[in-house]
Amino acid sequence: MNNIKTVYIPQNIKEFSSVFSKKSLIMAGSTYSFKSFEKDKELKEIVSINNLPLKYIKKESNNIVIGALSTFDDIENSGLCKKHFFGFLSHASSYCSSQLIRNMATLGGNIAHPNAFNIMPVVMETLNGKLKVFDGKKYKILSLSDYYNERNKVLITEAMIPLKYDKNLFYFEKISRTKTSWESYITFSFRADVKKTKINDIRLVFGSVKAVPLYSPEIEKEMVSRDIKDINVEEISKKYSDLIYSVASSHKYSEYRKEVTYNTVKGFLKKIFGR
Amino acid sequence: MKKLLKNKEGLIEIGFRLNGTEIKTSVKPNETLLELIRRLGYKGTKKGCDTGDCGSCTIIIDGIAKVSCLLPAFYAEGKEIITIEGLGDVSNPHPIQKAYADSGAVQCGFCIPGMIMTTKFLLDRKPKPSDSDIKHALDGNLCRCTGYVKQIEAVKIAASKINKK
Repeated sequence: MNNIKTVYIPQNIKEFSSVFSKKSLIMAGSTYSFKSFEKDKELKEIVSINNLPLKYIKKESNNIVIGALSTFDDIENSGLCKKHFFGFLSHASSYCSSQLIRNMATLGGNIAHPNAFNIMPVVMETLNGKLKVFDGKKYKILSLSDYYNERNKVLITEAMIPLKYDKNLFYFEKISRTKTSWESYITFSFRADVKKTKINDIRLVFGSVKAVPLYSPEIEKEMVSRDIKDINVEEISKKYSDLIYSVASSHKYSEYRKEVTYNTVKGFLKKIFGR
Repeated sequence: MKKLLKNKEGLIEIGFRLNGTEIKTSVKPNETLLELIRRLGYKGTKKGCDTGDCGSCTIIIDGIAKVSCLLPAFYAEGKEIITIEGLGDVSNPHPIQKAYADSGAVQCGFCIPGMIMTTKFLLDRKPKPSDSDIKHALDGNLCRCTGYVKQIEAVKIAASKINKK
């Protein structure tokens, strides 16, 4: 970083587009960027995007729209995020690190730097959220997986969370063996739409397993449109547990994470099935 | 657009307000804000883990408590920064500083400046915090001497003193 020649501080997207290049480091909350690139001798330019007008949380058509520079603290304390999805967004944000980091870390940064322990990608996947990105010339809308295919070429400007899931049932928890054994952490982020005795829609997402959130459309398909009395909760829980185990087989907390997954999925399904 | 350029000495020139005083200085591109503050003589802000985990280096930037070890020094450009020295001193302590001393929350004292800055942020935002609000707010300020009980008590004492004013 000692070879940095210029730090650009654009005030709007137009100014940003004039300095946006693949070679420059984009810096927002700085919880990730600065320490990671401190010793990078190749880096010549930094674009500090803190002044871009991307810090907002609003309701727009059928979405809750969150600006990329909104911090975890902004989301946790937003009236809109507390009101919708039974406070799921707000609750999930409160699990991010500490108050001091929640004051700095941004939604955009949390998604842009893939890390197994990041919360926002898990939340976005649970709610089928889309990302509005800017490629230097125009805006486009991407799913999370599409974004990860071209993340070095675009800037996240906002996340759009569809309100059609507003009245679903939610569960979010980060569980670990002890608070300090970070390797044992596993994130559970679940959503279900249950009408009378049938599951209309369900999404069970697991974080802290691999770089991007893990979920299984195949197992979800086994539950959708079926009468809840025909669903074998133990069997489904075991399938999820096996999935976590196989992905993290080299992990020293594999058995623990497998067991926690089994119990958590079982507990959630039993609760939503009213058993 | 604002542009910060390197000068002939390889330093970036910045300007900001620190505890109410205008500062104009030059910083190395890889210097942290914590290093800059301490270089300017404000040694109350402590260097602990240097990875954003312990909260010893907490300062308030534009009204928000942040860890200064994770921020580049040039981040200060145009900002209003308050460190522990900006709150009060021995002869004229801030009610939060007094509450920490009076309640016996201070043992070795290394973590206390950071805790006090986070407490200031909390009480500015929530003048009457509950126990869980206090625990949630102070969850990034680690103390290796105490069991945190006295600090929670100190925040409550400080809150009642400030609210009485």
